[in-house]
Amino acid sequence: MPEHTEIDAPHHRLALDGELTVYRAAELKPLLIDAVRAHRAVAADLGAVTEFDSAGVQLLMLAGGEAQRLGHDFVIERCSEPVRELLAFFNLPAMLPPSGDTAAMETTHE
Amino acid sequence: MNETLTVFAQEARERLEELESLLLDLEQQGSDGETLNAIFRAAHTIKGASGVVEIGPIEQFTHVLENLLDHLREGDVAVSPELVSALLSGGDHIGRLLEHLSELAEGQTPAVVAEGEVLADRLRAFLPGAAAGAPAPTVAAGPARSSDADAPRAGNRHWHVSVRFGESVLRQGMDPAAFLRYLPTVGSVVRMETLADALPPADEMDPEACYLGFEIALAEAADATSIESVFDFVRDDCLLTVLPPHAPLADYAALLDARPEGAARLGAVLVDMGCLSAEALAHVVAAEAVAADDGVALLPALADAASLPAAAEPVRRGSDGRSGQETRLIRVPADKLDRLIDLIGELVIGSASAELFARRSRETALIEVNANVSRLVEDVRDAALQLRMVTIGETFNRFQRVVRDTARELGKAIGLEVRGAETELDKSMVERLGEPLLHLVRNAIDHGIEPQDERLAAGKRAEGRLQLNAFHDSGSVVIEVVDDGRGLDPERIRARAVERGLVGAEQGLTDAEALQLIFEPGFSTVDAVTKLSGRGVGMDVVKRTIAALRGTVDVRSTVGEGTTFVLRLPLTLAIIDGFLVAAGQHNYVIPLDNVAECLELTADDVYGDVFRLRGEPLPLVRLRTLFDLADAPPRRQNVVVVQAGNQRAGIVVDALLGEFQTVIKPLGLLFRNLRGVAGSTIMGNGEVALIVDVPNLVSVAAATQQHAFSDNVRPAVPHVLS
Repeated sequence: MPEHTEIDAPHHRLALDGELTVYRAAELKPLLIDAVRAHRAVAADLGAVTEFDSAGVQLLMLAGGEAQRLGHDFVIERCSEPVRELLAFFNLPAMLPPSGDTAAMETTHE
Repeated sequence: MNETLTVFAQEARERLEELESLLLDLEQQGSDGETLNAIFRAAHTIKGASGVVEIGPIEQFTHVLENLLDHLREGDVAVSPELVSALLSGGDHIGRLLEHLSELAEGQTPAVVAEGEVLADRLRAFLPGAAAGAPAPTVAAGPARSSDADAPRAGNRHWHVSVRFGESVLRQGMDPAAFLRYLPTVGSVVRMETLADALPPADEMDPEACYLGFEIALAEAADATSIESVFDFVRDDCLLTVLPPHAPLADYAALLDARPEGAARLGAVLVDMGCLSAEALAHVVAAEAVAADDGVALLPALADAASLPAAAEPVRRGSDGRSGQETRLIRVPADKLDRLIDLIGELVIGSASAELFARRSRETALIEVNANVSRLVEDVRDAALQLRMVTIGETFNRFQRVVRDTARELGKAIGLEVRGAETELDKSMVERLGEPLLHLVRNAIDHGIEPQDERLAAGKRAEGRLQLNAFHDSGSVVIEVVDDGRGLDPERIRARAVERGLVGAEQGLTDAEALQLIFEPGFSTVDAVTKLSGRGVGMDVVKRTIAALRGTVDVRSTVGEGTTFVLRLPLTLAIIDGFLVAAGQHNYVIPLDNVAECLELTADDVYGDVFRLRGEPLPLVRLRTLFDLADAPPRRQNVVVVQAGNQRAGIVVDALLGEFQTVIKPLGLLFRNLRGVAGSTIMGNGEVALIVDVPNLVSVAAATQQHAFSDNVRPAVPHVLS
């Protein structure tokens, strides 16, 4: 479940978990768009995303594009293996966080 | 050998077969880009796979082969018969290496590896700049398409795939990524660019619509069709363009024109990807015709337009009627299949049993239920047998090589034509047909088709024609081996037969009978024993092998015009539809395919062992006599008229019991020499019934009848089994 963690960081952190696919695209789109509109800088933590498809890629591109239009910043600071794999396959290296930040599939302990 | 190696060996053998038939195509039809690409891919796949399983010798040797093929593809080595021979030998060598796979895997170096060095040198000699004696690099001539021979072409060596997915794709549960992941099965992805230019502003964007497009550079693809097949499922919902390597710049111009991103933006992407040079793009955007040497990187080979695949047409939106789905295959070990067929055989017997007892019980409900089960069992049987069906084409195509090599060896020009390659028959049957077919083909090349000068003198075409035909005909498969050679001369055969003491000099044989003599052991009409055949072994072996498959072999020939061998085979070896008859206390099964009609044996029409059927003589075979049944025959007997090939006979039985599906059990050694019996089966009530060997009986009966009539004698004593 998405959670907003207000922290005193240059970036507003937005963590998404579970599926980032067409099945939840309608639900996740406003979340992403609202975040990039509301904050000057958003860092998405996708370390707990279990499934990722072309619809997910589009949403991230859309959020990036919207941020750019507003002069805001949108980065993916962490991503899970499925996310990394598909972004690499689509040859979108600019969207990937600096290497080494791929989260292992996390077990749910906080 | 572990499973990985087994799979590798099988895959590699398949690729080798492909390589061989493609090389033969190349030789016959001259070089075209698609064939060359496919040849290269086959070799490349073997090399890659041998690298993966770490079989160094195969990888190194295939690398030499691949290197030469690459030059061939680029057009700086010309296709010649010598080159094709060398490449074919290369393929053979890889096949030999595969035979020693387990040794190679253990790091041993069998002698065969050293043989490869000689061959590798022979292959290297063809490379441009090789030592003297190497053929000068020329471009193979082909039917040049003058219209675009001088049209400017892109320098891109790769296939270019441009696809825009329709908005509804995601909603239909399809993910563009899933299609693109299939691309590596048809080529290797060199570069892929994702285009999201179609994404609308955030508020208008429908999160479940698809806005993505892709530009992909693909190497080593076989043809446009295979690339397009990746997108079959979304064919109606995408814009797809596939351009071959070195496509005309005009095609790139059309592509830039047709895409929503606009020529400038997409052009920049293509330049960035290395698909178009900046100069080429400038030309394209300016839409000017350019001279071929004006900044467009053209490889030397490209002066020849004919060596290029036809420009791919942008795929129309909408289905083009081709089957959308690529068949997915799974490999199953043959013994597992055989086990299944065995079980189903038992099931057929079991269900026949159940039906028998159900009928005896007179319980309507039970009878109905059993009838249903039987019907299902029959369907299951058919489906299972279907699993073992393979097309004959693969076997036929192997002969292309045989014909080529044998003809070259004998200095004859012979073309092989294959028809009905898609005809299906049982796998075990196909495997056992290889040898007899090989013999017939070699025989046709060696003895059937005359040397060129003899053909020309006879007013024939210099090139001999050999045909392999296959087709289904009333429950059997017919395979023909046809040549247009000198034909078989019955006179010579008669003379030879008398000389060999096979027939008496005074015995008058018809031409058809004389031709049948070639199947006798030790018979050969060829005076000079050649290396290939004519040693007097063969035709009798062919006949025996085919007979063992419950088939027949016939020969037709016209002197001076050619010879046709006709093989008739049952579709499957395991299960037949039979016609159940009784003689004495026993049941016999006559294969239904052979049964023409049944009628009562009327005493007025019987003359010894000949029956008058509508005025025509029909030789009779009495099961009681054949199997030595002692008890007295019933007052009324029946005749089952059977047909095998073009001969007929009547089998005299006590009673007709109706149709009966049955599983053939081979006879033990004890009964190996029992004439007139093809096998046995177990009936529903547990009794054994013998399966009658119709072709055998018919030929015996026909022979008996011939003598009976030609001597104008009506033999009173049956001597069917003389």
